[in-house]
Amino acid sequence: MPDRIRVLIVDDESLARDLVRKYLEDIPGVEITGECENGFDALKSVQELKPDLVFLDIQMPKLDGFELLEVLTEKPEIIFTTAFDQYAIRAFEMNAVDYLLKPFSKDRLKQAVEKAKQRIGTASAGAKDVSPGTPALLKHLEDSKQILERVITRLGSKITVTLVDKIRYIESADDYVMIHSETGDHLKEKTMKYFEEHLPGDQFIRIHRKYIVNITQIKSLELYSKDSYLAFLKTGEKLNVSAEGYRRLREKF
Amino acid sequence: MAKILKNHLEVVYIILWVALAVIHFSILYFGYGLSGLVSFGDSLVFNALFAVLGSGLWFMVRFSNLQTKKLSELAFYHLSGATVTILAWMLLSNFILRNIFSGNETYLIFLKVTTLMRVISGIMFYALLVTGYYLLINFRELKEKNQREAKLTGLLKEAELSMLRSQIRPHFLFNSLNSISALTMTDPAKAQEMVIKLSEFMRYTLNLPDSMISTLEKELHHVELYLDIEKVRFGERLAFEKEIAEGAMEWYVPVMLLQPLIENSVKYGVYESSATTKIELTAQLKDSILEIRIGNTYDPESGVKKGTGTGLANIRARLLNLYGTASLMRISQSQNYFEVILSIPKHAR
Repeated sequence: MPDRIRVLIVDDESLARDLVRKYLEDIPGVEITGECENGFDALKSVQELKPDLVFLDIQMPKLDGFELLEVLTEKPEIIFTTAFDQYAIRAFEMNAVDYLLKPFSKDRLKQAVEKAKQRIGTASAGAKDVSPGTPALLKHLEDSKQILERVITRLGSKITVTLVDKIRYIESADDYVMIHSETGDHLKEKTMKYFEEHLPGDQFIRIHRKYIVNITQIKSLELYSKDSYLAFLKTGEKLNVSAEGYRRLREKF
Repeated sequence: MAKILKNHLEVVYIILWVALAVIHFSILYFGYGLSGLVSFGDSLVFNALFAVLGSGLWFMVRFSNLQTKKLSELAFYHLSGATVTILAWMLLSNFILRNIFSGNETYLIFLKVTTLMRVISGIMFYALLVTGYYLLINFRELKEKNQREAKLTGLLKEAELSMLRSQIRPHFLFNSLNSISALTMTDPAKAQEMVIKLSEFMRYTLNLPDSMISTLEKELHHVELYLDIEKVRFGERLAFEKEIAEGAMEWYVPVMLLQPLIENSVKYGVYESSATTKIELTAQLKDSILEIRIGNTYDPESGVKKGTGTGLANIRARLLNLYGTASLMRISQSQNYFEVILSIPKHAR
């Protein structure tokens, strides 16, 4: 086990951060490297400070705890702290070390820190490849049937939050998808199937193997060849529509 | 009550038959000039027998009523009922009277001659009794139905009260307790203040009045407790302003009307924005209407849809229930401001 672990506290409520800090002060071998009050700051701090362990609140404005994890490439160990018990399963599917339900005791936190220390010890002993989080996390996000309200994308250290209403269409790009939106074009490591299932179905339709379109953006449809059509968007862009996609569109109108 | 009524009805039934018997006697005695003894015997036997048979009809009617039959089936049912009843009545009466007055040839002839008349009056008796029974059953069912409905209304009200009581969002409670937990280490006096506020807040929701009516003053005090608690959690991120016109405080308003709206303001405003969210509450008197406006700024970039609208739908439904119009709640929304406007008529307590 490591002698010393470096910790980051992320919570939008200052009292909640105070509590974790106070509790940690009495635990030897723990160094608090920083505190963040929102997901954006947290992303920056994780990248700059490279903490071993993050205490992460789930409900925060703009970028919540899960969304933050989604855009982190190198994931530290995570201990969720939240008043919501309905997220517990999701958190463990993300391979979190522990899940502390507010309000929690100092002993409970201590226990969680011990668990984290053990994991960090194992990981640094050469098991870094089975880095916690990543596969389970991605798998989980594929599975969850939650309807998206916004999509978080990252380019370097720049995070973009795009409301689904602002998305014009999504285009498949090998292992990624390209999200064409009012906030620009963003690459995201997700499947078309994922977006097909998680975008609101009354607004987004898979019109082609390569495209999912926001139907409010379609200006007109034209016959292109015997079995295919072209969708003209308000922005002037043209998208191919397969026979199956055409049938789906017709169902909506 | 039902028991007294039932006994009462039996007495009425007996009196009815005694009266019929007296009329019957009078017709024979004065009309046909039969002897007193013969008139008495004839009247007694015919009427007493029908009274007994007729009380049996009660069960027949009740039974037929239980099975909701078609009209044609019902007609057949009573046709056979009437036939059997009258046949039994006539045969038995004739049998008894023939034996009693076996020596009275005149009477026996009279008995034979009046058969048709007696059958007709028997049909009338049957029809009258059955109609009376049906009316009685319907009357009782109506009364039972009313009682059931009253009970149901009571249950509904109970359900509404418990719905309002359970409206405290659990995560609000747990997050507040977490703040208190932190304050016990850093600022015990403030922790104590928060415990007291939280207790007072909870007490209000646990002791809602049965009348479901409160005053604006009490409602406002309640939401201010809530906001004070949230303010401890969110500090500068939450700003609250109110403007209450003179005389508005005493106005009667439905209980727990403001709380869900203020909670929405906190949920969609404060929870979703790291900047300051301004929550405003104004109350003005316009003619005989109290106009309450509850508004909040919000971050249009947060991406959170304005909820499922169940909270607002609930309030609309409650207002509709209480005042009978659906237009008492309006919503106005701009780029970054959301407002609910309530119009509360003067409540005759």
